[in-house]
Amino acid sequence: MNIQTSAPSELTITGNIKSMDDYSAIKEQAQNVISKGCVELTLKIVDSFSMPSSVIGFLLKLKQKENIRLRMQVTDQRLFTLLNDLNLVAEFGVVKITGQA
Amino acid sequence: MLTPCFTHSQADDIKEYTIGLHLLCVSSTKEDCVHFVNKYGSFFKLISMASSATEGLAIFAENCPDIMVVSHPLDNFSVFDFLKRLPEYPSRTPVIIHTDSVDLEFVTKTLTLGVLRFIPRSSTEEDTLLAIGDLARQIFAKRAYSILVNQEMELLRYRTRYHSQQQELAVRKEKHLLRNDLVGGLLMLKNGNTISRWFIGITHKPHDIMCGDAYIVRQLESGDLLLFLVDAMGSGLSASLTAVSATSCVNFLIDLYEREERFDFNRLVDCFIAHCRTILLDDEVISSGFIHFDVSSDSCNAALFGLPPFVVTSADGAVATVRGKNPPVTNITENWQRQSIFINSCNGLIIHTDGLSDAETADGVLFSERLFTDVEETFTANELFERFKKNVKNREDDMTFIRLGRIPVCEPFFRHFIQDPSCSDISIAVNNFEKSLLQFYDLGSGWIESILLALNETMINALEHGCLGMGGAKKQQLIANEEYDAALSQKAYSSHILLTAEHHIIGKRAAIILFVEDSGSGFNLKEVLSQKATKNDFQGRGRIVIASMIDQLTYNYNGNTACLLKYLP
Repeated sequence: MNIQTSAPSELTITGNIKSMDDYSAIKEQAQNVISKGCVELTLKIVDSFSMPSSVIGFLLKLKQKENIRLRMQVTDQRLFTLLNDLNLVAEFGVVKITGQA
Repeated sequence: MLTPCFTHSQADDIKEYTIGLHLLCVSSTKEDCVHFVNKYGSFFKLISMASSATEGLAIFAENCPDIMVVSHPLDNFSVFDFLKRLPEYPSRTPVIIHTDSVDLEFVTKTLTLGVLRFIPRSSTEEDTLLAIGDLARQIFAKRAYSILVNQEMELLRYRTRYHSQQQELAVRKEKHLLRNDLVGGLLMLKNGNTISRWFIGITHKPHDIMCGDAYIVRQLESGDLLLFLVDAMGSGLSASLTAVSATSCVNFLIDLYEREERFDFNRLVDCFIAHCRTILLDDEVISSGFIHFDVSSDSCNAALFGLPPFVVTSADGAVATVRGKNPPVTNITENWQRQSIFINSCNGLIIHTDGLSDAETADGVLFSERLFTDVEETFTANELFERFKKNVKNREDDMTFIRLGRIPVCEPFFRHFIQDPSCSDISIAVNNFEKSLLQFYDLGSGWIESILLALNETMINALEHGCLGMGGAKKQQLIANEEYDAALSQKAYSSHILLTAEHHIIGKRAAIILFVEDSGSGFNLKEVLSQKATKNDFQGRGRIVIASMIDQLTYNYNGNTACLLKYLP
């Protein structure tokens, strides 16, 4: 998995999110963005078809405890379905996009 | 003055129907209206006067009169135009035409526009009152009917609501009485040092709200397994009562025998039959079956009463059926026959009600005709049910089956034991597993990443819940306090996780099966599996993530061993 800051409050993630290392990288980058005063965060998830529960837990904490406005653009239908099954589409502001994010 | 032939009692009778009504009188001459009010004013709740058609339409639109008298002709407006411009067309408000001259064409046309009576101007007061009274009675009858219909509808709605509520409560009770000790879906049968591992799954699909099928799956203190399936005659409420009674009895007997440490298969069946004799009507039968996996003797005892033959898969994959030896239980049944098969020779077993085998497929044949093929080509209960759903479009009976599938004995191709695990140890284990997997398979990266993600998630669960004893509330608190990562990165002393991976060919398909066992005490599977992950809840999501990545996720009885099945692409 690769993660980079693509705009002041936007992170673009390529590859699959699958390990604890991936979780740590996402957490570090997100906290880096928020520490600069951003109150919203957009995650562009280009390839991943799933998301570990640790990442979900971290994002929920951002939303619910730190009041960060989340937006998420996902490309893979399987990830969208999973987030929908977990009732997180509205919570994370998930949008399914086609093609490259 | 009323004529002698028109008595006051007749007038009072008419008034009884008209006094609650609002009459609109439309005439081009005000005198007509005034005359009407003077003559009949005391008969109505209200009389509105309109001295033109336009005014009549405005009053009609605003006040919706109950009955209308229209003088013909009207200035600047034909009666037809007036009637056509009413908000209701044709008018549902009864209309009386007050006129001097009518011809047949006029009558025919106005009748289609809601006109019910014609009163010549020359009519006597009595004739006019009789005509009005007749219409008032019709209005009364219509309204009474409408009230009655509404009352009936309300009563019907109330009854429907009441019955639905009762049925929902009854279904809750019904489900409460069904019992499955192996809700996790992974059965470990221990005989000395030998452990046989089985997937066990139940598909239970009522046809009506209430169900005539019921089941019990119990793992006994001895480690034995007992399956009970019942199919009461018919479907719906009556069948459900019989099934529920039978299930309660069997559960009660098992609990009693377990408490007194004297479980005896024959006695259980005898007592069940004795119970059936007390609950069945003369014309009732009950199909049922008991299967007891007696681990110590490596045998499987069965007592089948009118159930379809159960399906057995042998070690070489061949599918066969074993016919029961007893007819359905009636209220005079006394004797029965037991039958046995050796567990070692059996790799799979399906016990089912006729809702499975007798269901008609879209091709017009019974599902039993394709059951062997579907059993051969599938392994889990879910997979078989998917085949059933695909082929049977209209189910006409309750359907229940319990499926057991043995995971063949196999030397693991990967084994990783972690003593005092931490998060980084798990990353190492998952990386090593990936390397090992790549030695055997050149599979698409998507497939490998799916299984790695599922494995990683499972092992983190084992670390959190099994090794660190982190409950849902504790985890939530740690995440909120930013202490979660630190907790996972520390070693969980005096605990361990064992990961094993095996190659298999099951259901004619190549698959990998992973076992993740932790040293924890497990968790209450029934409680956890019935929970749904919510956006506000920090637990339960891991299981959903894992299940979405693989083909089958099961847990053992205690919940400290997870088994992940994933077919090769």
